[in-house]
Amino acid sequence: MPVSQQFRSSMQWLHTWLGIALGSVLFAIFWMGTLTVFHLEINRWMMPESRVTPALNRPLDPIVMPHLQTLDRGEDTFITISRPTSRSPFVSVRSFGGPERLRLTLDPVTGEQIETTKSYGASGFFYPFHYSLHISWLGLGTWIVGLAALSMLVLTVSGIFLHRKIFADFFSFRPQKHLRRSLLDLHNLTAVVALPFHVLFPLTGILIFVFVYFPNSFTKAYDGDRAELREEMIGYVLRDAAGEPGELPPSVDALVKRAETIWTERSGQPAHADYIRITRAGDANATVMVQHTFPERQVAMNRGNITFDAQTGELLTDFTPRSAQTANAWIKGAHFLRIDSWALRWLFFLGGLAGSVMIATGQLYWMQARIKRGLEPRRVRVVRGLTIGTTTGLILATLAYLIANRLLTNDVRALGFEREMLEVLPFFAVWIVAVLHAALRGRAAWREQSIAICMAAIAAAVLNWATTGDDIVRSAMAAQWAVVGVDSALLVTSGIALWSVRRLPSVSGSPVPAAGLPRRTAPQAKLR
Amino acid sequence: MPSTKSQTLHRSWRLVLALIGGYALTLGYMSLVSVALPLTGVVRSEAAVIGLLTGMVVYVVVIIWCASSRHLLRVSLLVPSIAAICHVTAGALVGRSG
Repeated sequence: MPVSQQFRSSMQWLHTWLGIALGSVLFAIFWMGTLTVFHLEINRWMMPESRVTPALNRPLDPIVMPHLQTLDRGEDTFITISRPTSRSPFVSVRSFGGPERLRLTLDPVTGEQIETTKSYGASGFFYPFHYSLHISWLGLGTWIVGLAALSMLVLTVSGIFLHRKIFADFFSFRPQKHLRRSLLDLHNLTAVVALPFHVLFPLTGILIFVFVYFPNSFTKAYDGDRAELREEMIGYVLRDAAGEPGELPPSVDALVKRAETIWTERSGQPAHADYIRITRAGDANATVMVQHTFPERQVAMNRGNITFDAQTGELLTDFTPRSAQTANAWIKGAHFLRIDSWALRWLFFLGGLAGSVMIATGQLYWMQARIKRGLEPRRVRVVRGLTIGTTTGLILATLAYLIANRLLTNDVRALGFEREMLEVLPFFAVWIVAVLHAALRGRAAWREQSIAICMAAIAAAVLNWATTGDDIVRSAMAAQWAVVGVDSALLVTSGIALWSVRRLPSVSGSPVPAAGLPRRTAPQAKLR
Repeated sequence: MPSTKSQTLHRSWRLVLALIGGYALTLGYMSLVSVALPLTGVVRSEAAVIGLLTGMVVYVVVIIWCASSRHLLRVSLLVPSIAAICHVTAGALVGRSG
């Protein structure tokens, strides 16, 4: 495309500035997002009690009603019941507000209460890390992620303008050339191959949090009427409290069945409700909302939402998205990716990995170019510490989290922390140490952290076998594909790390290259 | 490519303008779409979703524009002005769409 030189140079600095400013944050978001593609599988690896074959579409009443009936309910009690899926095998009952809280994990067949390993798992740690960086103060983390996602869109667009020969680059990866050239090749290759994902991930991510990022703008037509907004946009009906105590619905299953019949007749496809929400559970104006949030055969989510009066069973609203809403539901669904397709899930996983590699190589390329042009050693230290520490260091920290999960006994408490936190502490400790190590050791840190990754990944897989008896073969025989998948991923990670160690030269001495030498005479060609 | 102090300053300003001015403009654009489209018969919830889906494209285009325009002064005036016009118009229309 004919682009003026001036325009290209403006895209050049925009690409560099945003990339350097947010590269590390973007890598963390991409890495955590990549793990989150399989968060339910990693959960099962981290909570061995959940390594059972799911029993689907069992009646809910005998499992949940006894607990709901004994719950001390008020007009602000909200209950959420989630049904088991092929990826998460238990019935979960949670209540919020009101005089008493419920937090139950139940066996879908026996109704038995399951005590799972006290861990945040992947859903409670990697997942929120991905969208909030675990910075909850003023919602700052979510805003940083939003800024990073916006930058990613701008980086992708400016990157395309910078690129003249997309197809030529597609086929050029020259690992034997000097490092800077192969870094740029790898950056371009991963950028072009996974281009749709580099647009899809940040765009859909922003749209999921659009209520946070653009409050009171696209909903202006509602003029502040939140109840109407909720009802028309997502079909959520919340009635005012009547002020009189009310009963629970006699049967949840009956309402689920009615909702599923309506959906199936409308779409001609079997539909299974996945979430059941009871609002104002202790009040006479209680409602039961039966949701079809994650369809099995569609990317689009939020396919239906039917609300019943809890007392009379009367159908109050039957929400189905209109056309623009369907487009939005598809876009969000393409980020949550709960469709029952392993092929798509692996594709997204690879897309996330490609993004991570693209971000890391982009940062490295910039760093090598700066070193080549001459940068004071102290600044090289800082940049290198951050770059290495936020890439290999983050991978190491993730492995430390998994290892801690397997090493800690279930009733452990220490330093005033619950077990969940004792898994998280090693994560951050290892991460900080990795950044410091990279700053101190310079380029030798690549090799040393790769060795650490290689060993830690093996250790995690071995510990899983040692603590649960599930080696890969046994897991495969038992069709525990989630466990087989995580273990294999660990072994592959270890293998890739080993390959990198063999490719990276062992450097000894001078942690910061050319630190003491006049810069022009530094041996640039060998600089790695 | 040696960058001078004034170049760095100009680029920093472009970035601030792109991110903050672009944000204000996107907010204004979304507000305007969400109240203006219902006047032409589009359902409110649909207008809102159309606004937010196209709003992101607007934001990215404004950022690219701010970063690359040859006339820095012109974009510095235009981006806030367009944002203000959108907000004011949306505010004036807001009651009528109900």
